Amino acid sequence: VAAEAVTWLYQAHVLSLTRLAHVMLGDRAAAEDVVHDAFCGLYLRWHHLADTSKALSYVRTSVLNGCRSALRRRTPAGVDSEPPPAASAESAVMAWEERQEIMRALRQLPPRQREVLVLRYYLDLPDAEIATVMGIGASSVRSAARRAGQSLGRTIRGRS
Amino acid sequence: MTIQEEKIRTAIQETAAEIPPDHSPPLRLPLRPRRTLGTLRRRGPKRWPGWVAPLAAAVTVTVVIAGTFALTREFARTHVSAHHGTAPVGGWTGPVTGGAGPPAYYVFLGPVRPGSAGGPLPEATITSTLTGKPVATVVPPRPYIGFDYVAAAGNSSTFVLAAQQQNQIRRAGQSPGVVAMPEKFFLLYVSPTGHTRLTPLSLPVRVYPGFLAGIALSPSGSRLALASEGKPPWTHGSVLQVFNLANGTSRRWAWPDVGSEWDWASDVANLAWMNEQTLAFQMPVGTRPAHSPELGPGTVLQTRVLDTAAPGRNLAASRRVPGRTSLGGGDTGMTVAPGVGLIMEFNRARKAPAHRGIDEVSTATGRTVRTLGGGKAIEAFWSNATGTKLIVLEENAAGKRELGIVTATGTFTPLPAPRAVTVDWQHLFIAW
Repeated sequence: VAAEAVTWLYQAHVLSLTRLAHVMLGDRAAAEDVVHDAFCGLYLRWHHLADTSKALSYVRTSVLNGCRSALRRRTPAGVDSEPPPAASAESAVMAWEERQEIMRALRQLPPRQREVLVLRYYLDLPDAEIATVMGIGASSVRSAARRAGQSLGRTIRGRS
Repeated sequence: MTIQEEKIRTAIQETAAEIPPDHSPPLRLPLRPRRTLGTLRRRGPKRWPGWVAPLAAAVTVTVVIAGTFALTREFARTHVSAHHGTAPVGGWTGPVTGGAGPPAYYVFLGPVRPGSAGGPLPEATITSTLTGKPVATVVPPRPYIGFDYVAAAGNSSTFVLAAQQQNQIRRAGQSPGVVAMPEKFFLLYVSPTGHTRLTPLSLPVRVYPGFLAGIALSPSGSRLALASEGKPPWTHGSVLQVFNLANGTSRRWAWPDVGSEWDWASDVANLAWMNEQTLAFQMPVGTRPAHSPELGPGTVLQTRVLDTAAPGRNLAASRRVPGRTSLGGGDTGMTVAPGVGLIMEFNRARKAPAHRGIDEVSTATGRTVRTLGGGKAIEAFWSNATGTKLIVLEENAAGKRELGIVTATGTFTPLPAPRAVTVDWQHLFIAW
């Protein structure tokens, strides 16, 4: 039963969770590893879950924890994605550069602020659920989001 | 939503979209620990009494302090000559645990190119055990030109590779030459999804190509054994070293300088860890006469077991596995079932060319516990902890070699494998 449930959950959410980890880490291979480890951990602890309907929340938290561990282990050098083809319009290149700059700034934020932004803007989670996933209070979510917004705002304003 | 928020959202969404919608790597669930009777009986969540935590903490602190004192005294008494390290060897990432089933991956060094047999092999190919398909290929970073050896820990995801470096030199009035440099050791990590990471290990050792006789990684991946030949005269120069990758210490064993009994002990090889402490190895102890009726001329190997935690630096203190000397030969190798410490010794021509087999051998008595492989196996690469499942290379009636899993009853289940593994296996180094 556990294997079936975890496999179903994996198939349904592997894409969104891998994308979440990829945004956090900027490294596709590391993101895949983190997500895989999270699901293996879920499988091993399935019978200890008090409420299996909250398994997705559990695995999301595991992915965030895995991202934190991966970030602690590795060197600060980020992995940037490929630029658009040379034939792209100039505006596309500028948009790509702006995106890279925002993502670099995002990855330099303290872990809590970064996670709040990613959960809010990528998964569209309400503050209450972000608080549950991160194990912090809703007010902490709001303050972290505000501080993160201020930091990123400086980056965006500096660019424009 | 403000413009700034919109920009952040767009950047995050576009970065996320770099993972394509059809992304769905396979999920490999680990083996779940067997449930105990206690957990089956348990109903509802159970909490420990409140006084257990402080008591456990106090006991833990006491045990750690006592253990530290005991280990410190033991270490000082028996390991005076050892290299004293206090930190993990650079590149080491921690101990590993293995599952009960066949390992997911194996690594073989290759390809073997014409005229290159015996030299370094340019690539390490990580291959899926079940599909036989290559998962990734690793080449050594410059200036290393190829790999000489590979050893695996017990989890199929941690390997150690020995890499060879050669420097081109030019001397006035002479043609260009090549100078061999000491071997460099790398830790290869393969993630469950098949991603690889090659990290150099900072080991305090200088072994030159040709002098390295073998390496073996302990089941947890925390100890690396290395057999090497010393300086001339090599008849007495064989050395075994064990590097503890977790704390940076190392130990070294050598044969005594005198005594004709050890004249052949220059070629320690076929290293295999039986557990985290005990290392099995083989060494030549003489030659068979040309008229030997069973085996023909060749080298006679002796199988020995070394307790790496016992005091002393003399390799002669290792224990000989009784009765296994005469069965050895140039075609003999061994692998080990880590859980029970049995040596699997294959023997290609014990009585006649057609007689082949893998013996489970008792290291205490040297007697054969059972023969596996249906008499067709020519090499054993891996065994489970009980010795009831082995990955072997068999030769069928048509002379074709097949890789497969063989059970204690001799049932053989073929596994798909690259052509190199079944054809060039004698020139390859393979580690599960």
